[in-house]
Amino acid sequence: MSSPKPNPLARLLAFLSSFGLATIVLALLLLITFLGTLEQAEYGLVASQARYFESFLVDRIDIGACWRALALNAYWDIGNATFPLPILPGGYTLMAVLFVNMFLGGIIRIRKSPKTIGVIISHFAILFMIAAGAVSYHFAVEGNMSLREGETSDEFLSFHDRVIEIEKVQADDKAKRTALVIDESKYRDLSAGKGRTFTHESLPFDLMITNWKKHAQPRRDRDGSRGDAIDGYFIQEVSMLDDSGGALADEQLASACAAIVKDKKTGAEQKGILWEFAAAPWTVTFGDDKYLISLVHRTYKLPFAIKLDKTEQEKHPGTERARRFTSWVTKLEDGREEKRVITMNEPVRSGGYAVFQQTFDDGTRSRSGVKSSGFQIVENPSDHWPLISCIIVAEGLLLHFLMMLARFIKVGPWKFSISLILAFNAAFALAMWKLL
Amino acid sequence: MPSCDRLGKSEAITESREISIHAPRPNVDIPSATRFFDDAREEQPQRPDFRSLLTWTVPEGWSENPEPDPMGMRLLDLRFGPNKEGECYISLMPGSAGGLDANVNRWRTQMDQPAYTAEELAALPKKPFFNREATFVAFDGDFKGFGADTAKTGYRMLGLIHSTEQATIFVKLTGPKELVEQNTAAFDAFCQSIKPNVPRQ
Repeated sequence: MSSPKPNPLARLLAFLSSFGLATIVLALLLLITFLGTLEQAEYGLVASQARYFESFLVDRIDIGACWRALALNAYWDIGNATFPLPILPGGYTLMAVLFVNMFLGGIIRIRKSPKTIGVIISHFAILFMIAAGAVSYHFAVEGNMSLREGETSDEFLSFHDRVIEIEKVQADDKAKRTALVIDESKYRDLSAGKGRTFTHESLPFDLMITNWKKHAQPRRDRDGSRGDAIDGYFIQEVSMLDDSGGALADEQLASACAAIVKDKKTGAEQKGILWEFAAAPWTVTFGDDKYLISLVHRTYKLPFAIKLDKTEQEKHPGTERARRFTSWVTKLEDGREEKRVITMNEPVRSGGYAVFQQTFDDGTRSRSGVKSSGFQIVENPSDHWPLISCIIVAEGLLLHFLMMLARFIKVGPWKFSISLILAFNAAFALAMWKLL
Repeated sequence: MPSCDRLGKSEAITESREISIHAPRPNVDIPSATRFFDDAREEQPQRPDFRSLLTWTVPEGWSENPEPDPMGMRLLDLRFGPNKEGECYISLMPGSAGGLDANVNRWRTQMDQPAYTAEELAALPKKPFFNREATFVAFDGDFKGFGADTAKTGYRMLGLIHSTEQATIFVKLTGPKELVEQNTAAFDAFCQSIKPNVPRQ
């Protein structure tokens, strides 16, 4: 007599929690890590991360770029070969499947006994780390704040997110200033020949964006032959590779687009070029009012302000090589002032934000003669979760191996393992206390 | 412009943000050549000589520093004192140059003095300059100028800052305290002698 066929739900659970699925997911993670790392050489870190590690599906594989990254073109140049089909799951999908697989297999279905308690703890910690990655991906914000000595700011600029901002110029210097914001996702598909109009009830005009380019520079139309020239300039797309053929970092790319404002009443048009590296916004005038339109990195607000009192760099003795940058700042919050010091690897943390010393300029680079500091600002709700996860994984595996050792040497496993773990933790805590 | 689907696709702007009170004032009506850093390259040969925009009278015993300013920011760079240890210079920067508060406190930092509070900054004395008022500062302290490795102790700094929408002019004097006190009247006279160089019709 044949055994009863398991129901579909049980079969699905068995599949989702199987070692086989875990093996396939881990193999695919290895593969996308390999391909993503190779493509990074020509596409840059941010683009490669987005395509391979933050996506549901990898939309295409640039075989040529991977080939060149392996330096195989020295033997056989395959040119710009691309595999155009989305056959590979992206990192987001794989991590989600791994989470489900490990939760079902490593927490729910695993045999619960003293022998597996350490493994269960470690599985839990790995799930926690995957969750930390998801929280970081969805909620973390990173950017840069640059301050000259004496300056104060409570805003920072995103490293990678771009927007178009429209600000009405206020006659009164003390008037509240606001800007309308258009996210890059709403116009980055607008290559030459495509346009989209953006409207707002407070504006006397509609704004049309067209001819967007990811990395470009406005060039002067010297002989007046360009049909797409605006105010004597046209948008010239430039290479996203540096002189050595490597991809420019995302922060080095300067997007540009053409903007057309159309008067809501008269239909009269004004045209301008928006460029990320422009020295000033484009000004449009409507009667007595002026509006500034700019393509910039997204601005984020801090819950406190930072004033740079003083910044110094310390050099390695007898050399010009920087050893340490340090900033003395005043943190201003709700009318309170607090003196803080930010130095490399010693950030100031407050309100869920961490402020790291990132760069220093003695006034030479900016040619201003005024010293300045660049701060990296990170807001990440899961900032410490990977550390906590690693500690729990270590504790779980330590418990598992000590209990195996105790059974091997035939001593009481719980007493032996717990006492040794306590001893290890005490020694670790003492070492950290002495070290820090 | 290339032909495109002009107003076919329309989308409402739904996001806005409040701009910080600390954010610098925006530059308005800047021409394309300046916005795209094109004028500096093209027009460098015809750039005006900023020294020709001003006139002044060098006080007796003061002399111009023959060494060129490495940063190229000083319109006039004077020296005084028995060993020429006192220095006084004029510099001119476009716009507000970071603002009065930031510049005064930057000078405070150079003298190893704590930054002024908003109330202290508001209470700074004014002196007539360019037919208008300029903010006057005087601090004692240990002076560590731009690029210096060590501070010079027992120094005094005098400064005058005059800011308009178009430009900010700085007159700054530093030197050993006793020497500066001897030259305070000369500094005042020098500042009063600085005038716009208006061409005669």
